[in-house]
Amino acid sequence: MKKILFIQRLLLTILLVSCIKISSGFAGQSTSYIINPSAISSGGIKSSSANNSNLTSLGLISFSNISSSNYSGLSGFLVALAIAGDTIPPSISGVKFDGREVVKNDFIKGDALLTAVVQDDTGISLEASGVVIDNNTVSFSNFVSPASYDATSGNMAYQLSLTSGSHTIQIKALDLNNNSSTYVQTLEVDTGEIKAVSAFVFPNPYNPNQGKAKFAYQLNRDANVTLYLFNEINQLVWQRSFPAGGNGGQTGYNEIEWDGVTDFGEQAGNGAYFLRIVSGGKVISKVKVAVLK
Amino acid sequence: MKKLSLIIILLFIGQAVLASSIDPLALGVGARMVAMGRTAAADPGNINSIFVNPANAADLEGLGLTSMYTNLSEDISYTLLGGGNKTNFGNLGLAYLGSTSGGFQLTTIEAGRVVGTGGSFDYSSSVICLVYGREYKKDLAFGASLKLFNKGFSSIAGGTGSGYNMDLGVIWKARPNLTIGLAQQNTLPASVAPIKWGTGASEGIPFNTKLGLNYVPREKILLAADLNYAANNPLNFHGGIEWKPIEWLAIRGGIDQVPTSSSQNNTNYTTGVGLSYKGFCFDYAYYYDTLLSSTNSAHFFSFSYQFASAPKKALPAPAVIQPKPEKEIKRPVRKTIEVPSVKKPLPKVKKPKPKIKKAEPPATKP
Repeated sequence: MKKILFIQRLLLTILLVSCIKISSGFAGQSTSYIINPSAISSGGIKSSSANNSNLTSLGLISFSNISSSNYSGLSGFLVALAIAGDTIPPSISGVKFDGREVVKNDFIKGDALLTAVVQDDTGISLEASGVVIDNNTVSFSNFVSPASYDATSGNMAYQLSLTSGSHTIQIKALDLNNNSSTYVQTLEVDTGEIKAVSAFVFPNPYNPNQGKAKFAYQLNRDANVTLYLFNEINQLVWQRSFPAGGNGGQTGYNEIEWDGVTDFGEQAGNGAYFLRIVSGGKVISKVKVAVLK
Repeated sequence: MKKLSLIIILLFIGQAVLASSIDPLALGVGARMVAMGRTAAADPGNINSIFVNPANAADLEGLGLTSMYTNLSEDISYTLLGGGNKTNFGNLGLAYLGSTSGGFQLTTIEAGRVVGTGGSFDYSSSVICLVYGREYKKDLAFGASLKLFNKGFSSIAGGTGSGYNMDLGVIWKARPNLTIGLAQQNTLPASVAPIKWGTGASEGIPFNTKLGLNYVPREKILLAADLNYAANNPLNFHGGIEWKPIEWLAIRGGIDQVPTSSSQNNTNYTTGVGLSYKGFCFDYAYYYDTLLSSTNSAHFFSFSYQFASAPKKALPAPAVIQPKPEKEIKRPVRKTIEVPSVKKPLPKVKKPKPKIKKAEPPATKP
């Protein structure tokens, strides 16, 4: 009987030691993760709400922290289990350049401010997450002001410094469980002579009785721009000017609305019209506009 | 007087109309007209000008043929073919002006952006102008023209439209070297003569009143001026000069005001040359657009034939009669006519027999 009792104690001891070993093993990991202790519940890990402002006090807790402080023992073990069950990658949303969304091959300014929201319920690896510009990685942990990453809100800001040419810009995010997300965009920086590309009107043909037409175009850089609309015998019927930096004169996508009324106070008649996008006295793009009521 | 009143009413009936379609003839007819600042309201007898003011047709002296080509901003090209002739019942003219433009891109919205679908369609527009002009009195002429418009977008449902309108005009030769012209273009209001589209839409052609004059201050020089008035447009001026240093060469220049809004004009400049030989003329005009010179400036080319007098032939300045210094009057020298030696028998001339009255015997005295 004593033998049996001894064996039971021995097995229990082995089990406890094993648990402690497991916990210690997690705590031994060197990578830091962002995690919000208050988010830990029996249901798993919820969105972060930690109030941390810098990398050293971001609420970063390693599993050693978990085991040694508030989440030692069984709690820490449950946290580990919760993290281990996370298969959802971080979210990267609201990516903007100078406050504007972009699509592939858009023009941006070389010093555009890249902003995004990078979040994950389990936390973001500051070392493994960051911005990648043409294969040059700058991790969140190495962000230097004005670059910033706020773990609480997930807001990220990074001032680009790009030369003219095509650039691949990525935002990579890795969470505690090695789930990763990547935002990739190829964009253009062109500080050369002003030009407008991808110039269109929508709809085409345009019916002034059914709303406004949209004149859309891409500028390679900020510039003062004037739009001229001529009729089929080259008589000017409408014009508008837009200062550099604002809609109509800003780098990238511009969209100007036209209500179909000419500068003569009349609704444009059916026929062909020719839009000229002009900057510095030079026509940088043209669009053929059909009006059909 | 009633007829005149009717004409005046017709001339101005269109002014109440708010219409918005384009009359392609407003582009100008013939490179010569364009080179002279698009002046043609008072240009009697010119084969091109008859399509601007139909009263100009009254002075056609014979067959005239004309053509023109231009490409505006590499966006839309225009071709003109026209002709006119003198007839016993008035003078007639017929012209076709057509334009085409391709590459209107179909678009859609993707991810909040306007993008092209890759598809495209074309646009074409034409006007056929039938002109009649006739002298009313020695120095006064009237004219009228009927214009048939066709416009349309290819491959677009309901994208074609057609309609008609008419011009009226009068020419007054105030002096031998001064002509005044008045033309009311697109006189009929939209309610009477709309352009009807396949979509069901109807619209008119805006009226335009042109008052012009031609003045020949001295031989080989012609000055021309037009004033244009249209609804919602500011009054705009057109002026031109033609100089013929030699019979077959004409050098031209002009200014052309174009409304850019309901209250503003933009002034453009024109120039050109004309070469003529036995009624055949080649004319070239360069239209310099000051607003967008790089793209909107355009070249115009015309080739024409005109019977009899050359278009806008510079009339001689009015003769000033001055007393000539007295000269010795040369009397014609009398020549002595030699009489041939052979004496021909003179024709017998019947001499009337003298009536001899017999004298009455004197009364005998008893």
